[in-house]
Amino acid sequence: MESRSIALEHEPDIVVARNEVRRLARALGFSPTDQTRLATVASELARNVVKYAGHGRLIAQPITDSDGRTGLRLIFEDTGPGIYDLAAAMRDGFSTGGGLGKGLPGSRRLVHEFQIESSPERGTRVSVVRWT
Amino acid sequence: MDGAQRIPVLKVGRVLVVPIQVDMDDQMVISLQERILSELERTGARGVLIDITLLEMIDSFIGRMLSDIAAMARVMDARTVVVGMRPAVAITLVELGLELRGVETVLNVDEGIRLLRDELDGHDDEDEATLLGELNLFGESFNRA
Amino acid sequence: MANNSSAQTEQTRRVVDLLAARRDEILNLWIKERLESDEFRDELISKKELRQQSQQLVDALARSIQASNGADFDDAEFNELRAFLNQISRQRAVKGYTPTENATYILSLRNVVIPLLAEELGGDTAALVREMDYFTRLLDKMGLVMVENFIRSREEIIRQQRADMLELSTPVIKVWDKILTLPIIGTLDSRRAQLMMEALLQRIVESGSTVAILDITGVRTMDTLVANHLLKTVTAARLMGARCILTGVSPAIAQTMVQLGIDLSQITTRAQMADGIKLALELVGRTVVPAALVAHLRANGTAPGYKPHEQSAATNNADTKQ
Repeated sequence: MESRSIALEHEPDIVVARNEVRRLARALGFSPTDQTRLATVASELARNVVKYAGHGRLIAQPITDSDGRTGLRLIFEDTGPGIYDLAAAMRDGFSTGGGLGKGLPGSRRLVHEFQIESSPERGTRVSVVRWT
Repeated sequence: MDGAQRIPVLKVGRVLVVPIQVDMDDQMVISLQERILSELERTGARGVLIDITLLEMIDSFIGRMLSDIAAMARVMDARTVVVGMRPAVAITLVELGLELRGVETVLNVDEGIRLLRDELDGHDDEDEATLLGELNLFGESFNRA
Repeated sequence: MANNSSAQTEQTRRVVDLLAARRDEILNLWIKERLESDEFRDELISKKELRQQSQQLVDALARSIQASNGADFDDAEFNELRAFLNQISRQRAVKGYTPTENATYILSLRNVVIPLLAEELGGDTAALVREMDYFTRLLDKMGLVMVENFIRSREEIIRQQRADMLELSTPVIKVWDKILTLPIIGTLDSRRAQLMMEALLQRIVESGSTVAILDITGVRTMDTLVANHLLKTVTAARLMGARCILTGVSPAIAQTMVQLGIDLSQITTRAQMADGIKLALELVGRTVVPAALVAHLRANGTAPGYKPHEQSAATNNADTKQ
């Protein structure tokens, strides 16, 4: 199955992103609970891009590991201001945007692999994977 | 037209019934919250029943709306009941770290109506409580006899 | 290069010739060897089956060498043989052979073929060495395929059995209108706990149950992971509008949970399943009373020893611990 790239610029894009991720997850044979986990992660992380960076994109990649297991990788990229204190942002309850501070740490609990890189020059890149 | 207008806020007895049947973007979430609160004020309703049976996902944004509505409604002397959360949504919310503390939840609309019965038809049903107390007493007395 | 390939063709023709000309003899010797070895297990495979399998194998081997002009096992002409090896190693995995027995079966063909080869090529030592080398390499590769595929088949079987067991081991039982029980037995791992949680929550919706009793009488050990799954289940059920009651907590498990620092204050617990059922009935607005009381009420319209002023005390005693 092919990768999908979705522009993240306005609030309605968040809805597009999570619906597209759910559709892909369903097509890849994820359970209903996993579909919901992935759609929720997409919603959280796409909102971060739209809210803090203003523009960026989501790349959704179906992947397979050496045992033939299917997975879905979601990459959220932006060229925004970056996250000043990454360690703090990964803690429950930390928020600079008036949210609940559950976005990053909560999303990490919903996936199997979670990587985040951020710098003021290059913006932020979050890559997550969930396996079936 | 404002997107949130597509979500009806119905008044039944002294309860506002809100069936959410569309996928909401953040703006819709915000304006729905505002509409519910202004309807509470306008109608003096004592309960809010939010039906989320069709909602396929609750992220932290929607989760916060539900908590906020419950907290604000409580200040306005109304109780909020959330109906019909799906298993997948419930599991995901727990993993996300949101427990919606302060929000009453029920399984289906039947249970919601049972819980808000007093608010729906507006009379206090103390007879049943009295009866239950008596039944317990019967049991106790009988065992001692 | 051309030299090399013609030399190859010549030497391999001799193994093929041998396999063709003395096929029945090879088969008989090989099967005899197998039957006499410690590894033959007639409860797993019949003599007839062994003969049939071995014959097909020898024929496929000869065909592949012939068709590939004596190439290595990686050649496409060996695909048929490879498929056949996969098939029999899978059959053997299902039957319960060990990987060693599987490999030995293939490798033992060497013990039969090499002496015959020596007989045929008596004088030509160089040809004999080349031929032995080729045939041995071939058998080694075949043995590896058998073992690899055997292990893969076994894993598949184990996965399937596990899946079957998982399904069997999450029986969600409806004990009364709106009341479900989930007796948890054995060892809980993360995957099983996950499936259990999903099965329970699904049944809660389908049956419209507002109370679920999780009975852990049959759980031997408890660790943080399992306890967290239990807590997660209870919280998720609450979000859906159902209450969970945890019953059958043994003193040992209670102790472990406290030592692990697991906060059970949010969970309603009862020592026995029976107590859990009693509480569940109360929560759905029912109570269990002696049949004689009902009979007495029907006959007299009032309970024996009913004194209205005791009512408030009794109401306070009603146990509805949150």
